[in-house]
Amino acid sequence: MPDASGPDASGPAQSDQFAQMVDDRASEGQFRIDRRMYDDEAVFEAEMERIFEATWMYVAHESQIPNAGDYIWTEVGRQPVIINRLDDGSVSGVINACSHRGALLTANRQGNARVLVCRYHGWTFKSSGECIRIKDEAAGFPNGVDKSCYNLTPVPRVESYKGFIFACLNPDAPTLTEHLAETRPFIDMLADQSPEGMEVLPGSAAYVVDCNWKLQVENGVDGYHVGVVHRNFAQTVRRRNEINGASGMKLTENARFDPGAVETACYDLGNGHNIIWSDRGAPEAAPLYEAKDKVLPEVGQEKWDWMVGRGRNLLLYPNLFLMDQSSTQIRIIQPLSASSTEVRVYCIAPKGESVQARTARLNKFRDFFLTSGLATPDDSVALEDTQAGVGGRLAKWSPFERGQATEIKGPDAHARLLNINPVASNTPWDLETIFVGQYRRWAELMAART
Amino acid sequence: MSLVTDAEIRLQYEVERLIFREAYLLDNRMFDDWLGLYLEDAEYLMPAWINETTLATDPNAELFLIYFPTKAGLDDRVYRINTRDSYASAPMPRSAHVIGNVLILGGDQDRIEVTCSWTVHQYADRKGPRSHGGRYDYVLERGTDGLKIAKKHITFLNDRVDIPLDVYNV
Ligand code: FES
Ligand SMILES: [Fe+2]
Repeated sequence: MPDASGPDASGPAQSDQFAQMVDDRASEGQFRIDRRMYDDEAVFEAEMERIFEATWMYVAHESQIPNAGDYIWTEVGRQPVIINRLDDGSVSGVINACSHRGALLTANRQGNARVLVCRYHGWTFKSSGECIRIKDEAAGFPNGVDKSCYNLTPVPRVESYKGFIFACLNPDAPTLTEHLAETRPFIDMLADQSPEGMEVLPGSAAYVVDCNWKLQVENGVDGYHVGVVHRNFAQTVRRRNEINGASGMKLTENARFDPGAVETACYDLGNGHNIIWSDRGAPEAAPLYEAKDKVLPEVGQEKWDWMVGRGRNLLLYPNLFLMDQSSTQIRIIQPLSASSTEVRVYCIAPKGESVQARTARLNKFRDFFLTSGLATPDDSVALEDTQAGVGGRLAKWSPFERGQATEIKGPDAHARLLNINPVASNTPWDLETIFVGQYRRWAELMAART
Repeated sequence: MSLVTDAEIRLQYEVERLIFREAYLLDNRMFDDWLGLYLEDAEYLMPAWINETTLATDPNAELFLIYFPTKAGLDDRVYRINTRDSYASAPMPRSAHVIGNVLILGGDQDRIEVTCSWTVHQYADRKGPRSHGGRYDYVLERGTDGLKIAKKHITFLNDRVDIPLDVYNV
């Protein structure tokens, strides 16, 4: 293969060359990426700045902060932020750093605080960030002081879409709506599963995988590994289904593990976002199935068929997955370093579902979606092996070339039914069209700024 | 404190022998014998943390890391490991359980509530050594062939781990 494009493999990557690490010659049948992007610390630093601190990042679900004063402390890129609900019911955000010396303003990851009192020297702020108390103010400023000079630093942009709250540290970024683009119909398929709304269930789990964040982001929409890495999962639940004579919600549906057994496809949704889907072999196994009479009239037959009949892995680039497979999951990929990534997972569920459905949803969540389950450990270790392998500098390129011949520009017949306009579609779901979109977006964001 | 009776010493010994035996069987991958320590309707729970101080309590409404209402869930785990097809479980990490502070909290000769502390030292080739720990709360019941485990509740101190967790390393 010619090696004309892409930076020199020896030595650290240079910041003006990052975008060239994506060797995009799709018109000649070639699309490959330089594996240094998985373990180079200079690339990582630039990603934090140009991707994670420059585009919209998911921070919380509205159900986690229902009341005035409720807050969540999380990270956007490398920066600690507080996302909170103000007295007027709106959602807002400040950098979680005291304006005095920078101490964190929250003792807990979540809680309720109508005012934020710094635990270091006691300065006090409204949850909006307004500085309302400086300890011993008169002694420190005998001539008076304008406390508004010491307000907390606001997060430049905070917006919600259907309960999913996003923050953006870049005041010049496009609107959230523009950013989400064609993902919105697919977010709706999760958000609209109950007329009462959705809720994040109590408790979360986090696991650290020694791999680059992009390997996690590929893996969440990688249909190709499912029949290999999760073969033992399919075998285990198939045996369990047989022993229990399981039916209805108790059944663990597993048609997607057999290539060709059900219809599948993948869509590049633009801005790096994408989705893979596969028909469920047994829609009645979905915990949502019981809600037909409540939800179908609200959403119409076509959308209902998508909701209950199709398992979907939706990636909101760069780091959020909304999974609706055997169970429903919010999965946040938080990079820690070039070769270490935290994954934080939550179960999201329709408000008002029956105890049986909730139980089934949690059972299936634990089965597949946790690092203490029957499937996720196998992904984690496979990704750690991949991280070790990409360190082999002489093996420079990863190709994303499977499926070029069958790629459709624009929507396929299924997407057209819902008036959804992907950049590109392909079937089956495990073809690599979607990764081309991911890495084009990466190159676009990483292109050196002048 | 009152004087210790011989019956108490015998019961303490019997309880410890069972709990230590479980650790031995897990560390030596003798899973079929391990399953034999559990009653058919044994409950096995490892809740997630809801926040810094609170553990989940209701497995049907909150997140648990592991929850099996019966022994069938443990059987699934052993079956999966025995497929030799799980990326994370082949090769298996080496592990050593260390259990201490075994304290009988209540019950009678036939149904005993026990708490103890545990740590697991683990070594996997790619990761190197790891240690983690917590508490076990057991309910043990006496049947025709001696004491068996009716319930095991695992408090896992971390809310973030960098290794897969399975029945053999918690
Ligand atoms: S750092 Fe907050 S008051 Fe000093
Ligand atoms: Fe997977």
